[in-house]
Amino acid sequence: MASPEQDWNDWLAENAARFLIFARQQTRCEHDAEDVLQEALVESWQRAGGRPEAPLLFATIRRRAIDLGRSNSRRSVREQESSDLFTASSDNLETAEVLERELRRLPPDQREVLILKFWGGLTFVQVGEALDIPQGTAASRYRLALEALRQPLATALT
Amino acid sequence: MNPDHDLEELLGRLSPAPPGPELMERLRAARPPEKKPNPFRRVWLALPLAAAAGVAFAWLSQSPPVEPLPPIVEQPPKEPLQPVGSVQHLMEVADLGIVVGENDQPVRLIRTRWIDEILFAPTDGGEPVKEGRLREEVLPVSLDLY
Repeated sequence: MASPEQDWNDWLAENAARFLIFARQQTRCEHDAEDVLQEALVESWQRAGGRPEAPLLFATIRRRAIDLGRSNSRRSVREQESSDLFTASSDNLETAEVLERELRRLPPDQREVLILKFWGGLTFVQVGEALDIPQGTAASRYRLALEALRQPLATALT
Repeated sequence: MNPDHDLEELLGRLSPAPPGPELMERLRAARPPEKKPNPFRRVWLALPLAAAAGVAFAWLSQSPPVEPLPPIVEQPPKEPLQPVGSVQHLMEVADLGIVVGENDQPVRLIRTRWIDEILFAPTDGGEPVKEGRLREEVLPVSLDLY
């Protein structure tokens, strides 16, 4: 059996990327995303007494980001820094650039569903749990997000 | 068939960017401490019980010892009052009906209510005392057959 420290490190290595992309989507800058991610990871781990369920952790990230957004509302709002959301092979670099740009143009409620469903690895039921919305709403937002992305990515699709 | 299959396949070629080395190091260092059982917690839980037991013990130890009951000695009953007379007052008579009694003879049952006044006189020669008692009787009355 792995030591608690090893379990924590393994869990981070397996999941940090998908949690980070969601944290980036939920916050205004990279610095906030990292802070929110760390706080949510620690809080969720402590609550669960070990590896937490993914929907719970995504929900914690979202709640922490909302709290941080409220506390920052009176400060000067920093612009979202440019950071690479995806890793892609050289063949897909252009697709990654287009997708990052178009993701930022999506309505936030569609964007968060798409990220949770596609790169977060959640089912629609889990997406609903994480965002506190009905499963059907999650599915329809996902569908709308894909429709919005189809045209900008048409070149890559051909 | 899923109409978004081609788009999903395209998106699937991209993976979320992993955290940089600095962030990963920071996250590893933020590992929550293990929850070790707190030995003082058991003490805190046991304290009220121990206190209750101590109070109960102290209370019991301060209570006077239970004295053995004195042996029961039969004594002649004292009779300070002696009945010296009585008067019966018939208060109510009710016909309960006719029933078949012994020897298959019809019998009328009558309920009577009395107040008995009993006169008691103290043995030491004081004033007599009167006591009233309610008494009820059901009396069989034989019927004449023709």
